[in-house]
Amino acid sequence: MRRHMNILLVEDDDLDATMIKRALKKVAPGTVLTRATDGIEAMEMISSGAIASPFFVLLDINMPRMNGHEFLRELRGNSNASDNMVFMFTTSDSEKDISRAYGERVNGYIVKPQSADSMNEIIETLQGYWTACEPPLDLA
Amino acid sequence: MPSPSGQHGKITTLHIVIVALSLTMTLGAWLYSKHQLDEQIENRFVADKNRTIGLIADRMSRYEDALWSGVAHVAARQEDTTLEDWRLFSDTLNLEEKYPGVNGIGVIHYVEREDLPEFMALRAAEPREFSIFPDHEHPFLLPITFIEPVSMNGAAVGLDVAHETNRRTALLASRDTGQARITGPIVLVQDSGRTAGFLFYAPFYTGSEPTTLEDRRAQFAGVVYAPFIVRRLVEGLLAKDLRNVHFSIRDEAEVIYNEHNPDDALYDADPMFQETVELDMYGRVWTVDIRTNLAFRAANGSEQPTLILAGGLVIETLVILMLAMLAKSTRFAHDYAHRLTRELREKTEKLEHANAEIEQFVYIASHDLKTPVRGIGFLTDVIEEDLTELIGPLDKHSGLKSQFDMIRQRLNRMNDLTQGIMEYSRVGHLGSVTQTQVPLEALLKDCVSDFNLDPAQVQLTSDVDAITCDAQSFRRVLENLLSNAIRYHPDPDAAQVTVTIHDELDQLRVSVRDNGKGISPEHHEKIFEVFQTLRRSTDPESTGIGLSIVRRAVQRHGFEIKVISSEGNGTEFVFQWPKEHGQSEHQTEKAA
Repeated sequence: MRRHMNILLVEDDDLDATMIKRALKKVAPGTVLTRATDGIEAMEMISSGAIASPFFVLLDINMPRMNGHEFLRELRGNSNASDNMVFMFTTSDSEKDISRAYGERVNGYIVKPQSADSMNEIIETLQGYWTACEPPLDLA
Repeated sequence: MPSPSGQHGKITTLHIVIVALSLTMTLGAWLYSKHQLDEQIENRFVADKNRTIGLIADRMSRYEDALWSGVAHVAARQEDTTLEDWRLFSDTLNLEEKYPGVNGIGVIHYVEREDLPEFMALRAAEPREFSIFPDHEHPFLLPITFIEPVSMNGAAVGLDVAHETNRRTALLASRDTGQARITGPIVLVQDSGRTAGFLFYAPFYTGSEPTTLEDRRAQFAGVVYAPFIVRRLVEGLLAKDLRNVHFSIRDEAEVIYNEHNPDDALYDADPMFQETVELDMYGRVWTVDIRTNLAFRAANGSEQPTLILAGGLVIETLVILMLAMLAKSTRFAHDYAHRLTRELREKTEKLEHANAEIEQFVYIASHDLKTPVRGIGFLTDVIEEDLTELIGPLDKHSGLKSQFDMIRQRLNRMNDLTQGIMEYSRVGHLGSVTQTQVPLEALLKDCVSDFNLDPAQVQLTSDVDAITCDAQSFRRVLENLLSNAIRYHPDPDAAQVTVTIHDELDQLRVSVRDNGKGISPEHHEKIFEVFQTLRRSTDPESTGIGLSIVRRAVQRHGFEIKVISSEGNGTEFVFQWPKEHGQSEHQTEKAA
């Protein structure tokens, strides 16, 4: 039986957010999605307990106020939610961004797809990952 | 880096050694030539001196000879010598001509007082007035009996030289030695100028030649004498104006001759040479003081050593000036080069900075373009989906379907362009060179699958198994070249690409050859320019940026790519690639 995903989407672009929601609706309809528009808002949500653990973070890099890298460093650094899985979800395919993200212990680096079909495939993969993997114990 | 005015601009030890050596040589040459010249001049002076002394001595000995011939003349006749005899004898001597400087020649008889009447009787027989003067107390008389020529010496005839010590002493000394003798300085009675003079005596005796003092005194008869005025004697020696030396003669304390006259035109107050010579002169000692005069100075005051010194010093100054100028210009050149280098470095840094900014800008701009493009793509998908839900499968509405396809084609092109621009700007960054080893087999396999090729269409021959340096860029280069080879082939299914990699010491020589339609030589340069494509309207779409990326990637490592092709004969791209990481930077520096 498939468990429903719990996703924190950190994304400032409304269209990208819409496309993700649309793909989720189509591929993983039971998913709980919470959206923040930048790193600061996302940190506030996590620390206020607005999001139940465990959760996936889909993290854009280029955002106002606090970008993806900064958010990731802060999350891994001192948050009590630091064990949650984070996937970069970004238009950047530069080596610099990729290596930096993994340096900050990202769990995956996904370049935003060019079509709805590709988006669906990615969501499906995430769903499979969510189903297959045991979540971190202390977060369960 | 040493300071610009460091050792390059300084006077070095070598410079100092050069200056010191040439200075030493100059001084050496000067001292040597001066020494040589001084020696020469001194020799000249010695010669002049010896000549002068020699002349004096020689002249005196000739006078002595004359006296002795007079002695011989008188000795032969003894008492019978007459005035006439003496005059004749004197004429034969030809004094004026042969003995210049001699005042005359005469005979002085030794007359005991008891013999005086007899003597006077002899004189009375002569055709002249003769008296003896002045009177004195001595037991003998020494009257000048004859003196020729009388015209010059008339005042002396009858003078009794015994009256005066100087004349008498020398005469008696002559008697006692049997030698010629001269007197000390006296003033001749016949010299109206009353200058210094002397008498020169040669004794004659009666009977046979006496050998002892007693015999000489017993047999003494008189002397043949010659009076001299020193001034005239010297004038007879050598004209003063023709000499380079002046001299004075001193007899004991009395100066008997002196040319050292400050009023003399040739007088040299500070003579170059001066020497005093003592001459034994017939019983007297003459002290001759010889000094060079201005004529000597003029003849020997050679400026040669001074010229050598001055010339040497001038050359020395020039050498020093030259060295200083050399040092200065070296320093200037060094400063100039330093400044130029600094300016160049600053400019290069500025340029690099500007370049980096532009690349960053291009990267960000193209990156930001991707977002709206992707948005449009998504919206197109969404609209198509929604439309399908509304009106059923779009296959039935061919117009709509093809319009959607056209939108997607343009989106793809837009994506390709932005992707290409990003890659082009990215290959310019040397900083991101990774050291990952990429096996060539795997790389080609990826390409084959990316371009949907038959593996047999790509042949690899390589000396190496993997690309070590900047493999990411190498992949891009190979992808671009392969994709071009396939895309522009008239029949992509028949396309054959041969990749050959040769190991050439520190670099790889890579060749990518296809069997396509080839590229006309006139386009060989153009194809590498950004956004250039040789595509015709019927050809597949192309961004025109692929080969620019390829060339940029190769040039970044300091190498060049060239194309060997002609229309109809396929195309071969040849380029070098660094073999190991680290060389690339070296190469770039060399190429910079």
